Amino acid sequence: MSKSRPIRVAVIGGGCAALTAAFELTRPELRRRYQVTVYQLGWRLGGKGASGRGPADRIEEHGLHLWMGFYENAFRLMRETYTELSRDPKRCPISDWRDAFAPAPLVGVTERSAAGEWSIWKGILPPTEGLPGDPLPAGHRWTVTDYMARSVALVGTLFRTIQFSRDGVFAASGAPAADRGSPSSSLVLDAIARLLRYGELATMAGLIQAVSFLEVMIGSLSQYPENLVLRLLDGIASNARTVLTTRLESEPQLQRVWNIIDLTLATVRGGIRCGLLTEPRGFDAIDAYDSREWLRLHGASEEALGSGWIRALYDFGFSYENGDVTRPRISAGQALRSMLRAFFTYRGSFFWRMQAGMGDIVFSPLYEVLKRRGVRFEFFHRLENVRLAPSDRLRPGESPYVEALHFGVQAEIKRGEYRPLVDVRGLPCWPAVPDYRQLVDGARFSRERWDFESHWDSRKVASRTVRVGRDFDQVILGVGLGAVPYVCKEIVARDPRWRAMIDHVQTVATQALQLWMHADMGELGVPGDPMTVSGFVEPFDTWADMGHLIAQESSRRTPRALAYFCSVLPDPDGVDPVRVRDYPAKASEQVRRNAIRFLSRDIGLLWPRAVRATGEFRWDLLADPTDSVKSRQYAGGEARLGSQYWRANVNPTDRYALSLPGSSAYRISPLDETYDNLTVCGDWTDCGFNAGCVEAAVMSGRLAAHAISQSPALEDIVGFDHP
Amino acid sequence: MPTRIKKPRLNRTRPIRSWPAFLGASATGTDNARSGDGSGSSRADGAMNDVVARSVDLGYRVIDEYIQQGQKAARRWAQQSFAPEALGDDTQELARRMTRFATDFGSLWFEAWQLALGQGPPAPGRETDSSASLPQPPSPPPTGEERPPIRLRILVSSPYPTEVMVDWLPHPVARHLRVQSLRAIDSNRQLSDVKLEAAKGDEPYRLRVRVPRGQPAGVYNGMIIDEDTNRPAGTMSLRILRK
Repeated sequence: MSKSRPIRVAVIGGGCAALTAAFELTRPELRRRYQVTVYQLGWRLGGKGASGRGPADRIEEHGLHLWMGFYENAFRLMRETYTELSRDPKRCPISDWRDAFAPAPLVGVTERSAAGEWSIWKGILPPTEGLPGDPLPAGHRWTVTDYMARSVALVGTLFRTIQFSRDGVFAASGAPAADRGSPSSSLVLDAIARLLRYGELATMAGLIQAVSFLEVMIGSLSQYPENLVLRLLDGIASNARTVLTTRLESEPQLQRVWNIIDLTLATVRGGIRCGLLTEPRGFDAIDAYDSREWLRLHGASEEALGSGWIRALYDFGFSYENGDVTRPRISAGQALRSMLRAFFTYRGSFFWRMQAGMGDIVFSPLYEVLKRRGVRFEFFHRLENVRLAPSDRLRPGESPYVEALHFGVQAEIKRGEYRPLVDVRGLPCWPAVPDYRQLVDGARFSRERWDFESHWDSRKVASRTVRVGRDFDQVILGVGLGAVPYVCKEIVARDPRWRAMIDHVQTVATQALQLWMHADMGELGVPGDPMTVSGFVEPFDTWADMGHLIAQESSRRTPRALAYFCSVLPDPDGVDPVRVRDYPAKASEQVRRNAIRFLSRDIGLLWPRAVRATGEFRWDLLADPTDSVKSRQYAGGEARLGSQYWRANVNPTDRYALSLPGSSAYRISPLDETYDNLTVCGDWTDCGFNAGCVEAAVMSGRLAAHAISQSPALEDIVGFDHP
Repeated sequence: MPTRIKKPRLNRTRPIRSWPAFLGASATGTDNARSGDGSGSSRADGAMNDVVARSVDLGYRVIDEYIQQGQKAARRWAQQSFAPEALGDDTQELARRMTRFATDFGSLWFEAWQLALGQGPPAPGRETDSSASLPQPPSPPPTGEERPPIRLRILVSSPYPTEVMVDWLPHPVARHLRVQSLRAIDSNRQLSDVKLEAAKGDEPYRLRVRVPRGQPAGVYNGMIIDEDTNRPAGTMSLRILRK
């Protein structure tokens, strides 16, 4: 590349991936070599992670966002951002990354008994050494062998858990025996119980020994005949099942532990059978399988496959084709990669909760840092087309390239650059609506309800074309995958790889619901620490207690609980939603109806005291943001839901990219060299961790920066070189 | 039109999904292990396979034995023949078998562990079958051929009938040995008053065990550690018979 002048980079989109790329290219050590301009639709940054402050400073999110303890790249980005920002803690309540993120170790999955009753199985995943984003040891490498050994060690730990839990179990079952008979029969029954316990515990001891040996074998598998290892695995599984069968029926807690053991053993068995320990493609070798199908092939029981753990795996990744909950599908390779990273490599805490809206915690600080570094932000710019240089104009050997970018300018700014943030008690935040005062004709836009983020509202005040060589040298395309067919029509038409990506890497709409309530979670029947629960019923299968955010808001009458729900939103049958007139309003109404149905029919299963004896939801629990106890604006049964927040994420760019079986090969990498001035980024790209999440987005952004500047080094992108 | 600024050519554009595949087998030691030149590495393979085969088989027997005992007790319960003396016999028999199997299994486990750590085959010159791929009947752990056996004097102070068994690893080098607290197989109970005193001159090691009054009957196991290397040198099992 030229060294005579700064290289101008046009970054399209303001989500995690795009802003990470901007962050990497403007690092001080690159000495302003890259001059970055970010083009953003509407008034705020964040993409699928954007949030806004609504009435009473309520945080309104796109959905439920939790950060996982293995998000090494994402946490590193945030830690560096907060350090560089150097906020004054006396003036800003969230000045350090540790103010911004707090551990959330309590997770839960829901289980339904044979009698149809739902229960929550809570578990605390213990804190681990270090913090996400800490430097990793030099030469650190992930291998399948290491993961398999850890999986086997987990099985051993779970066996020991069963063993150690026996005292409690027998104390419970022994008590009735002492009550019901004579002293002599009681003594005999006690003796029998002891013997049975002894036999079973001894069996567990044998299993633990066998598992310990398996650990050694896995650790040096190249030296062992595979059939022996598999035989030992099968022996452990079948014997454990034999031992536990009778107890599994009567002890649901044990059934849950066994489900994990069963799934883990199937994983190890599958890993060995598929030769993953030496497979050059790593987990991509099993990308064509659906996760459940792959586990079933390798011996997982139907009970384990139907357990809350597996449902949570699908729910958490919105892994339902076309949003249809009867079609759960996720690539076995990526699911395994995600699960192993999640459970075996998290640091500090399994989950981390942001302490304000995602926009406030992630995108305000990033915006401020990037502004300081000289990044220019062009808000209200909707990308309409990425224009390629005509093929006949390419010189021999010249790669295709982007010649121009066409934007619809949604609004003109009255003076200078748009200032997007608002101050909420010292914290720079994004508003839920634009600041119309800064816009030429802003009052009209407000009156006419211009929806700057809607794909269906294409109104604009001008058009703008930026050209290669004059306005930019390089392009980083960081829009959501769902928008690609509309903004990259030429590329999709000309390039079969892009067409194949559009066809095979599918996206799904999602729905979100936030409820503010006048009773705390204990009063609603869910005592204890805040938790995150997945695997529940549709239409809202995932719930998180987000009560910690209430302190960041300004309702006059402070709510006592705040709950976030999310799940997929099915697409209309046989119709492209983009072609449906007023689809956003229709989808929003669908979410509202879903919420009413969910609260009327299902919430009592989760929050038993949120419903009356008749089973009816207590609508009066819902807190009105605007005022007080006697507020009448939303009074009257389900109409009170109007005081809450819900959202249908149906905009193409808001749609969540799925990791469908067999789709990974169709993703395009940020390192792809087909176009010599175009780089893609986003959690939909082939970024090494091909799942829809913040970590994948940040990884892709770092890769996009590497494609242009060769910085950061690929070895520094944590988890890129990973099975 | 000015010269366009193009992206640089990258050294690589794909992730490394498998370090062993990327680095090549030689870097991982696999080449050495599979060189098949008839030298020590192939002997190590053979020894390893043999140990694995026997361990797998023994592992089955350990597990099966435990299950059989549990099922036997369950049948007895179902048939209402739960005379205390019958239960006692079961327990004694189970404890005896478990001790034997556990120590056999433990020896093989340690043997495999040593091999897995790359310490070579346990017995130079010992015949092994490198093609062994199916479990073979268990055989006694190999004994040292060149080093003198560790001599041990066991002193037990116990108010109850007590059996002690020590199994050494194939080639423990007796230097500074220490025995860990013994733990019961079936509970969290411990027996901590166990000391291994160093040998002086030609004197043997002294293993002193004191079983306190009230210590529940059962089998207690512990590991003997070589303090110089912090590696296992053997196992110790102690069985307190019924009071």
